Amino acid sequence: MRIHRVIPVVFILLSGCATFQELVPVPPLQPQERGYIELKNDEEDFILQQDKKYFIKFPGPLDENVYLVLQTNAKRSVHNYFTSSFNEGQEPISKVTDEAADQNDLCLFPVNTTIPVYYWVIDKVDQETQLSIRYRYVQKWRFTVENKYDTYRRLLDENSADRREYNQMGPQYDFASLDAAIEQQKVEVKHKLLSDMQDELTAVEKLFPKNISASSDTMYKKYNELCGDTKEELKFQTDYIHLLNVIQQERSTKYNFKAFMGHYKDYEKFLKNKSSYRTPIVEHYKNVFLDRLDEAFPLFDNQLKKKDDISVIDLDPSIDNVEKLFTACGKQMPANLKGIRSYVDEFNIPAKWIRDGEAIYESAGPASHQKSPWPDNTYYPELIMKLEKARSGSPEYNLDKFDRYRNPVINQLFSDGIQNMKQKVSQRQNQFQRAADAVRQVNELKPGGDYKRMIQVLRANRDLTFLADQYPDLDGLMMKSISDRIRERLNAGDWVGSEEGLYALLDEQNFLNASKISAAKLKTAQSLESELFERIKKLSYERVDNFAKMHESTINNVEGLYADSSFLPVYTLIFSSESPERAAQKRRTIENYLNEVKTIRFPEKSIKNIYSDLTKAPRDHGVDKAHAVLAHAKYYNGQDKSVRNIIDECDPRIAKPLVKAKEYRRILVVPVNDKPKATNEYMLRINVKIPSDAKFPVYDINIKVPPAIAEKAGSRQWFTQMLLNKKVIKTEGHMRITAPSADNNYEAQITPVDIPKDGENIIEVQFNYPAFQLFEVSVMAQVPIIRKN
Amino acid sequence: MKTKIIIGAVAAILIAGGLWYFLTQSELADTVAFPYIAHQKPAIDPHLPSSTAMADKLDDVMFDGLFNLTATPSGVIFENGLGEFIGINGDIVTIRLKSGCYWHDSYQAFIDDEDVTLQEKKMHEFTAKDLAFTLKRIQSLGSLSPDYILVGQALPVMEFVGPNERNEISFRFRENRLWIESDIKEVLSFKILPDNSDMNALTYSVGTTPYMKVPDYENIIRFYATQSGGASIGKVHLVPYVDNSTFTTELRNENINVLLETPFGSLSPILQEQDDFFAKSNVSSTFFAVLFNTQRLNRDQRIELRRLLNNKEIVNRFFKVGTEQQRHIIDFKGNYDNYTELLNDIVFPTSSYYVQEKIVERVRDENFPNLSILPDTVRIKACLNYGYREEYSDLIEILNDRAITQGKVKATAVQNSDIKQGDYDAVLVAISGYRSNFLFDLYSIFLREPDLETYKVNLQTTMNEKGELVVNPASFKENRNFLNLDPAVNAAERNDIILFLDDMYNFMSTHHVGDKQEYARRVAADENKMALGAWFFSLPSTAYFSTQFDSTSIDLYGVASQLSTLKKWKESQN
Repeated sequence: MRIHRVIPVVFILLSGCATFQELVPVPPLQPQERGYIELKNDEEDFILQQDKKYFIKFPGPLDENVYLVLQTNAKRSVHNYFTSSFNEGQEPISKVTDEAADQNDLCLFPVNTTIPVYYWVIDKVDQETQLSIRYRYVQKWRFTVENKYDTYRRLLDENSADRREYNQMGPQYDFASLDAAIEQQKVEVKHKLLSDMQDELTAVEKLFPKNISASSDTMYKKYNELCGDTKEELKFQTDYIHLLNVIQQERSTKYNFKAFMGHYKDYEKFLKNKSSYRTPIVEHYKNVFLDRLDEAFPLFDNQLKKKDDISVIDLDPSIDNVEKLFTACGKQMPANLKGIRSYVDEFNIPAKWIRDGEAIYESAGPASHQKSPWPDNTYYPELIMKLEKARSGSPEYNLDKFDRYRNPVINQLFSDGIQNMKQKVSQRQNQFQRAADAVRQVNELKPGGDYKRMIQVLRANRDLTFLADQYPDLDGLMMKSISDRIRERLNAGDWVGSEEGLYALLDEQNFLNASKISAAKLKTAQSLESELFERIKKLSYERVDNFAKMHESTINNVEGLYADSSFLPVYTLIFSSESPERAAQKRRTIENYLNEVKTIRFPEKSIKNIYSDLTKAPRDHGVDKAHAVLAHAKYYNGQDKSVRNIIDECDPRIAKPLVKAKEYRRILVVPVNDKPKATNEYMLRINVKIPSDAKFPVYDINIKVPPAIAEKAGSRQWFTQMLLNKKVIKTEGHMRITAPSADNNYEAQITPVDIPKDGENIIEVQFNYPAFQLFEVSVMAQVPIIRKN
Repeated sequence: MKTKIIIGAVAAILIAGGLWYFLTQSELADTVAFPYIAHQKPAIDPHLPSSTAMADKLDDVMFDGLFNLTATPSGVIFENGLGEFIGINGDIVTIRLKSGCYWHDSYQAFIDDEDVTLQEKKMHEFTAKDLAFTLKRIQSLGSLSPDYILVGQALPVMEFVGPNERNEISFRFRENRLWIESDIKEVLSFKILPDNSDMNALTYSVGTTPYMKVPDYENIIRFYATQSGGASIGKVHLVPYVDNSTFTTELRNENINVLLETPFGSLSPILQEQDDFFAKSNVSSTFFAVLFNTQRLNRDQRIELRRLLNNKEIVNRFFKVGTEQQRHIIDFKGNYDNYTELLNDIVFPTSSYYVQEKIVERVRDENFPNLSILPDTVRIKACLNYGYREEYSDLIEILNDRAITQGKVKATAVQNSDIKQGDYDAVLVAISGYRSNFLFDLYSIFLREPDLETYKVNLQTTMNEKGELVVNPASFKENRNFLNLDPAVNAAERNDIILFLDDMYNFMSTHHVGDKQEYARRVAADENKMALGAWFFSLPSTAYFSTQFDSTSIDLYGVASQLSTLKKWKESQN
């Protein structure tokens, strides 16, 4: 058994060993960074046999960021892969990605020092191949730079800006002829390409060994030179682009000083970076800018002359920016412009006083109060103090000293504005003082929840509309207090009080905003009204259901049960927020349910229960139970056929249907008289309705008579009368009535009884008995047969 | 010498004894012999009524049912025949078919002059196939067969399931009553024929009873007891005679030993010796009536003729009541000379269930006849050649008596051919073999073709638009019934004739008791209104037996056939 298990394992091992053959180069492979080295088998190329599999071990590198480069003729002719973990070709195989996958004879595998041995695996040789292969361990940066240096250098050369135009710019240069936009576009394209190249060079920088800066590595030097050249070219292009941009901005804002000043920061930057540009260019544009600044005074002067209000003057463009551009151009701002600035400063003294006062006043405006509902007692006093700041003191100014802009109207406007500000602030302070008093009163009433008084206080100050606004929920609270009182009455079952509360709620008008609260008030009233209705309904339903449940088996005084108040609502609803008809409709809903219980469910359940008891123990108060069923039946309006059948079963006057031949049907025989007598009268009625294909059906009617009644049938007639459709049945002619006796199991037979196919066929048997009790009689009908005898 | 004398004396005594035995030994030993009218050989069909009472009686001699109705001293019972009641489960009735019951054709009769020897040949055992064939035949006969009514009331489909390995079969009975054992046996008491029988043979002779029919000898119809049958008496002979006038004499002369019906149904004065004979009565099965030819007499005339033919006077004359020659009678209840009980006022005889149970009220027209309406002479004819010669002769004489019919009637005896041609104003007929039970046969009165030699009922049925079988008015056809009823010919009474036919068919074809009763009332009313006949009286049924038989072994009771107990008859020990 064991040998059977071992054999496959051995077979697999042997077959596995035979699958891949290691090619061991001579001389052995060296991982140091060097140039390409021939991989030979003692100066001979390895021969790859068809359908054989091979692998070659490559030692891990000595440094980080190293590539193993394989240059071979077999890359495409044999199937191969490079891996850090070789397991005889068993899955899974973790391949190292060849970063030169697009090349036909070069493989580029990133290797690192954590792996001691890598494997180059040849797993499929379609035809015999002489393996020509060279390998090289090389720093990644070196490999990259070596391979791309020429490309980078060419890229730099091709994308260096043409400086001929730039270099020509000077006193004689016609700047107007320069198409700055096209020139800028060209330079920006080159700038983009060189920027990308610079990013790549920067990325290579991360691959450098730590100590390379101290080395004399030629390639490293070449790399640095390339980077420096690139950086210098990019700086030139950046500055040149900025110049071209300034040229275009100035040119495009000709005759529009405001727009010109919109770019003043670019001009300022250009002038401050003047060392980056050729001096003739800088000087040229200083002059251009100074010429443009001459446009400032007329512009400002015109603005001031047209000023006819007392709002704060804010010159456009800013006179400060104008001054800065003057400074950048190496000049001081002229006196006329300084005079303008003095006037503006003087004008803005009263203008800002009024503006600031207005801000304080507005900050204490109605809108602000809404953010402070239910204010405490300090709220308004603090506002009063805040307002005081807007009212206190007066601005010192003198516009008359500026002849060029003297305007009496402006002076009057400032005077009125200051006076007006003081007045309205004072007025608001007075309102806030009243509000402070009202707030204090409200806050005193708050702990007691006396919303009605609070509303009265606020309504007394209804002219302070901002004050009422600070109590947006007061009406709601007021309404809630009313509804809470109504709900308390509901919970206490005080239906009258609840309805009175509802009436009061609907009539209540003491609200801060009666019209606004009216919809909510109505909704609340309707909700409470609905709750009132639901409670009355629920209690009425529960009361009647409990009553019905309690008495569903009661057999005494059944009539009295139906007079019980449980069949009335616990309260007769009067209130309705909608209409009296709606109240009546709700009353009817409850009454309908109660009526349904009274006329359907209660009698129905009772009849079924009592009848069930009756059939289980017919001798235990059987007559009382039957009479109870009939008493319930007087009130029963349902259509349950089974209940109707039960009622019929208990009613001696109802003929019991006999609808199937040969099956005995039990009939309960109840005394006809309601109260016991010396001789009680009994009656049973059968309605024979048995389907028949005879045209003139006749039946034998068999009646199993209770022995108590039948036992003396031999000496006297056990029945007082038998009727068929109200005609007396007699033993005459072919009609026979067989007496019940012990011999025939007390079974009387009437035969043959003609039963017309249509109409009722009532057989009635009447008998008397001293006891007042219930009897069970079984009746069966069957067709007689034609006999030979 | 003395010894020789003694030996000689003993020898002489033995010779004398043997000679005495030889001379006194009756020819009817071990034989039941009763007479029949020679030219009225009974055509035996156990499922159809016959024109001759003897034929119906022989049904019991030859055929068994699953159960057989038979008389006992206490009344009738249903004995096991070819079946055995196993039980009823719901509406499923299980019957075990008896095994070892063989048809008469299992025996070969070897004839040597008048002697017959029975030997077994290939045994032909009764099987369920025979029962199936019989039910199929009864189904096909429809209302013509009383068995169709009896079986149809119980079986919605005249089929059964089985037999199983215990040879038990199951019938599904109708669900309309609690079937008890006696009911079931009654329903299943129809006679069974072998399945190799002709469905419509004129007569059937192969049964399973102890008596099998063997070839006639000098017109004596003979039945021999099979060895396995268990009958006490070996032979049954029907001895041919020209008419019934000599029957009592033949009995007295010991040429026969049983007389099932006496002339006039009366007690015979010449058979008074109780040491030689004993009498037994049962319920009447024959009545006499005058049927009016509706082609010759209109309704008014028929009504007057009915009034004229006062059956009470006729009966008194018939039985010579109050004279020295009074014909005394006894009924099966033991009542003597109760002649009025024999009077029939309506088509249903007084002895029948329908009158006895007052389903149908007797209607007696006591009005005096208006003779002016009648023809000058009402020609009533009768044929004396097919039984009841004695009775016919007396009745013809009575009808011709002016004191009875006031000179308005001329009654004559004629040949059957005259009757067949309908050449009469009215015809006097004896309706024999009627059943006093539910199954009273109206076809034999109103649809029988006027041919006393051949019994043929002209019932034609058709399917109505509802798919129901109804009677075809062509059933009443001129010269195809004693009354010459034909709605096509008698236009004045067409509607009444068709209504009468419908009511009669409904009476005969229904298996519902209520329908039977209602249509009985209607038929009686229809007939009374149309005045189709004068229903004279029923003939008492009195049988005489030679004291050769043990009277206690012979039971006749009610409606049971007189021969239902034949196999139990025994000869007297003395």
